[in-house]
Amino acid sequence: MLLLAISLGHDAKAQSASTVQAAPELYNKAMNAFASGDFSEAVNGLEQLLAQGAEGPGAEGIHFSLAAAHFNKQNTTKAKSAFENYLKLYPNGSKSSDALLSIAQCQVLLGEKDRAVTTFEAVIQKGGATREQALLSKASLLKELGKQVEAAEALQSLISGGLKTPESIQAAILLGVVEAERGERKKALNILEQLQGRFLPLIDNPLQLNALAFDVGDAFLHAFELKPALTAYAMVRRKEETILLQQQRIQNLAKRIEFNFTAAKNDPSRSLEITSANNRLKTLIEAAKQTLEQTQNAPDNLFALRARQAAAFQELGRLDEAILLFESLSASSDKTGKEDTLLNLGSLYAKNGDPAASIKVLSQLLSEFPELKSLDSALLLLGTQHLQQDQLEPAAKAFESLLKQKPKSAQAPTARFLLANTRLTQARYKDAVTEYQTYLKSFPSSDFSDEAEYRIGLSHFFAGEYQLALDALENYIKKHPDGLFAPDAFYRIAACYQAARKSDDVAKRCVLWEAKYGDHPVSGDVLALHGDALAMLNKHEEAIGLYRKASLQGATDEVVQYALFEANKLLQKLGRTEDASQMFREFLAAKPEHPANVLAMYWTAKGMHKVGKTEEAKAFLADKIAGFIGDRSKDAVEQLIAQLAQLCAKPPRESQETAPAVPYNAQESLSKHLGTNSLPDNPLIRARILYAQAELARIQRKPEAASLSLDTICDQIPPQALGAALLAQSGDRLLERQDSKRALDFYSELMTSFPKSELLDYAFNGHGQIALIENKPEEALRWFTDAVDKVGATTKLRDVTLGRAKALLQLGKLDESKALLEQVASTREWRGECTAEAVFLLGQLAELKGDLTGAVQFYQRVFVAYQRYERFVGKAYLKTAECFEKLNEPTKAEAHYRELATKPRLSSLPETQTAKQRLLAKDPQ
Amino acid sequence: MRLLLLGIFTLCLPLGLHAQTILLKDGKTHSTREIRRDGNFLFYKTQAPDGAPSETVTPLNQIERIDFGDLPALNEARQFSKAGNSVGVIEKTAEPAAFFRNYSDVSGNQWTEVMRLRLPALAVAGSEIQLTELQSQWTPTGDQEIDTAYRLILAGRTDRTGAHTAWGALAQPGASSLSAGISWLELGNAALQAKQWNAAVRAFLSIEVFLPQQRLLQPKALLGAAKAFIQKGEASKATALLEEVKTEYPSYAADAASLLK
Repeated sequence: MLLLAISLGHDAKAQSASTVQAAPELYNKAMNAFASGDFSEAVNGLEQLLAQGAEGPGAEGIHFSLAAAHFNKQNTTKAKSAFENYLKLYPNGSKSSDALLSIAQCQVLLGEKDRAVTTFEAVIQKGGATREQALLSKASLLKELGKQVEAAEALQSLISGGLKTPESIQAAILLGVVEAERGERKKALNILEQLQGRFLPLIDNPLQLNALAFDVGDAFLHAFELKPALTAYAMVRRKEETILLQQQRIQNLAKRIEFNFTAAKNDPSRSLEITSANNRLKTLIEAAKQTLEQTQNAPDNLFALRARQAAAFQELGRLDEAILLFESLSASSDKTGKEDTLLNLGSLYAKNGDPAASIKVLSQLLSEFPELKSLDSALLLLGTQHLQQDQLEPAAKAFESLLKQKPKSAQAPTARFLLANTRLTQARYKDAVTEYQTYLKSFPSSDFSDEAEYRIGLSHFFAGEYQLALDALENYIKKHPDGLFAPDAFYRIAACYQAARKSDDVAKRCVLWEAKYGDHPVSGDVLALHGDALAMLNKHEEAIGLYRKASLQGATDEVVQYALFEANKLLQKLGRTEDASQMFREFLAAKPEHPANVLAMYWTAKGMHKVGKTEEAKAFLADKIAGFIGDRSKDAVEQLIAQLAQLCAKPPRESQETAPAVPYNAQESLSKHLGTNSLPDNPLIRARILYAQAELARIQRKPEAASLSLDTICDQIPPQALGAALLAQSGDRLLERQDSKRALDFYSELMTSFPKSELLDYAFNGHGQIALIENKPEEALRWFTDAVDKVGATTKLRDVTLGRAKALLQLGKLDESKALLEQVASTREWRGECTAEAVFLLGQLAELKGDLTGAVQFYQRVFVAYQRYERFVGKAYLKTAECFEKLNEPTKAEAHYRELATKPRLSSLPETQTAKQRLLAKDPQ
Repeated sequence: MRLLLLGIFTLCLPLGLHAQTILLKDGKTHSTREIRRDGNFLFYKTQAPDGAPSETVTPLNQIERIDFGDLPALNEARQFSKAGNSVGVIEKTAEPAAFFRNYSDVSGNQWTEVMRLRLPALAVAGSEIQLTELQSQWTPTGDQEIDTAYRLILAGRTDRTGAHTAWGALAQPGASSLSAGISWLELGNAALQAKQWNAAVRAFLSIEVFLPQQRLLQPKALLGAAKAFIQKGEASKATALLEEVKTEYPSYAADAASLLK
């Protein structure tokens, strides 16, 4: 259509005057029909003209127009025949090259592709205006025929003169595609680079250039040549940029038409030439507009581009870059590809070691796309990331969700296995065994079947089901004698015997183990177990030796610590304090960075003190403290300071005996050993010195002085300067002073700067207590629950348990609260004020349930058994009296009011005043 | 006084000595190797039919367009740009900038093209004198991206607070304008100063990821990201970036090598 419209644009009409003198009307009618796109009418008219014997120079135009009309009617066979006829009649006619080119195009359409190649070649040989187009068409055809080398040669000859015409630029684009297809990626990239910059406005269809950039990039990407792939992708233009480019091109073409008009006005002799040029420009504008529309309707290439760039960066190991690319897509409001984007982001964050970000994005994915196609992959990834974060229950939920929603997924075996592992880590041993058994039954030949068998034994072992553990582990050893877990299984079997107190068997098995597996990572555990067995057999010397070896060989901190202190226990039992001290010193030398060092230092100093070398012990502690006192991250310093304060509190034995001239000054001694005067003056060191003074005051039973020192720390040292121990203590002190706002600053700093501290439970408990004070029981419950689940509350377990009970009570969850209160009240180690509070709360709980008699019993228990805790005693009296009033027993109520009102010890309590007022109301006399 | 001298200097520039085609509004074309402008008139040397050289004067309002052709200095600047060499680009675009500024109101001028090369180079390595000169000779290009980048560079010198706000607004994920690139560079440097390593990494790598075609910004961005990675303790990531700087941008090899130590 394009070719023939141009042909008829001026030439055929120019000849009209001399075409057919006899039938001008018929001619005009046919040509008008052609111009208006009615090619059937045009064919009829032109055929009639020829039937009437049209002659003269105009006849050539009629023959060509007829062929063109057939072509435009898509009657290819007739068109081809008409063009051939034209060539036969006018072999040197003005349109002979066009006709030959048209024949070639007909041959392409008729599937005569080899012939078409030859015909295109004939056009090329003829030269002239159609040569470039013929070369381009021939090259396209050769490419289609798989003759890439020949296609490349044809295209190369077309662009050899430079990129000056639309055909040469089109050829360059096609050459780029051909080079990319035939593996000449560098050549393709070179062409792509040539086409950038000033050639851009000349390109007919910028979409083709984008397609080329994608093709070249993909070719490099598939060949793992990632840098050039990224270079090619960098040349892909965004949709809006392509649209702008095309709009500019249309504007430029329109400007050229205008310019031509002006030129024609100034020089009428050029009007025919300029009209022809403008017709060509108009056709180009039409084509450009179509391309513009096509571009506007085309989907945005952003996701395709970013995904490829991200893939290349990922292959390069540059995960941060890949993350940025996908993040830019997730921020976009365009939903296209968002599902894949979020999944990719989740996976990349995971690979980049950022499980928290991975969890966040995967949760967003699952919430926005509950039916997503990669649901199984997303859930598996989510579960593993929760595991990374020690979020066991959410991990289990993700795996369970996968197994429920996609039971036949390829990820199901892994999910089942990980679910079982999660249950084992959660100490839900029965569930773990069930999951491992289901795994083995459902996927008998899967990757982790031997490990699952071993882990069943392990689960029984941890559950204390030693016989079941023994059976399972022996079964494992039998099936996999050289299995990866055989050394551990062998060790656990010995431990099962130890549980059955068969120490001789244990010792024999340990000897066998040591002979077979030598320095396997579990050897420390085996040595410690061997030590246990020998200790039970009263072979203390041998046991001590094994423990000491285990303390140096143990793979985990727990084993090292256990062995060290078991050895210490035996040495103390044997009265060999100095040996124990020596052992700890050796340990400190061998493992200078071990977490058990502080305890080792403590015992070393204690040993020295016990054998009368107190000054040596003080010097030893002072030396260790000096090494760490300026380091915020060493939170064990405070423990050593406390021990030094304790040693300094009492005068040395020699001075006690000889009654020195100058009385002993504990504070001076402490300052001297701490080297207070020579230490650098900074907030952390100031705080630690204050802490030492507080400890000394506490030991010397000067609570006010102790509080004063702690208050100075709270009020004068910024939380950002303190270590974990002082942050925890200061937070608690401020809470005691009811300064919740500032307490929160210290707790928050503890959580932010010491996320792995063993003292984190102070922060969680503190936050929970403050939430309780602010009457936010749900928030409080979350903090207390997290204190146990996330940081394994140890120091604060009592406060956290009581806090949970109080939060549940406030939430009206009476039964759950009761269970916890009973736990607090009955735990022997926690006996004290918290017991009084728990019993009092149990009374309140009974009252809430309407059990007034039961409530009275709890309240009475408070003022009978826990008289020391006056805060609760007063309340308990008052509550008892109130219950009796409700029970309609006024005499008993009055008796309790009276008892409270008359106890001098309780006279300052507000409850006492209330009792007095009520008595007065009953009997104004 | 300095501005006047600059004007006189540009009139005498030898850059006019290369093949150019002048298209007049009446459709006529003239080829010349030497043009100069004086006010609203264009003077160009042509050859008379007898072969003798002659100078023609045409009012600018009669000129449709001038095809200035390829300037060797600009081609060299493009090569420097590809190698990320800002100093080279600044040097090679100095004369074309002065020349095309003189023709910025004539269709076919390459003022925008020159500024597309020169502005990022100045943003990375421009001296105080060069930036002052830019301000004095600036004429809007009509290209929004270039004109915004110019205003941003200017704001960076005269109004740091305002510029900081603009950087934050322009440096959005996925943005690929020159202004976004300059903003990321500035934000990355600010984050390095503030020891905010993660923010620095994100800002600098955004240049690598979203503006790969802005080669002039790359070396500084990669070096900045490497510095932040080193501070974060991610040495292997830093090494990968520094090796890339050494290979791709030789003029920054020494900077990369010193960080690699």
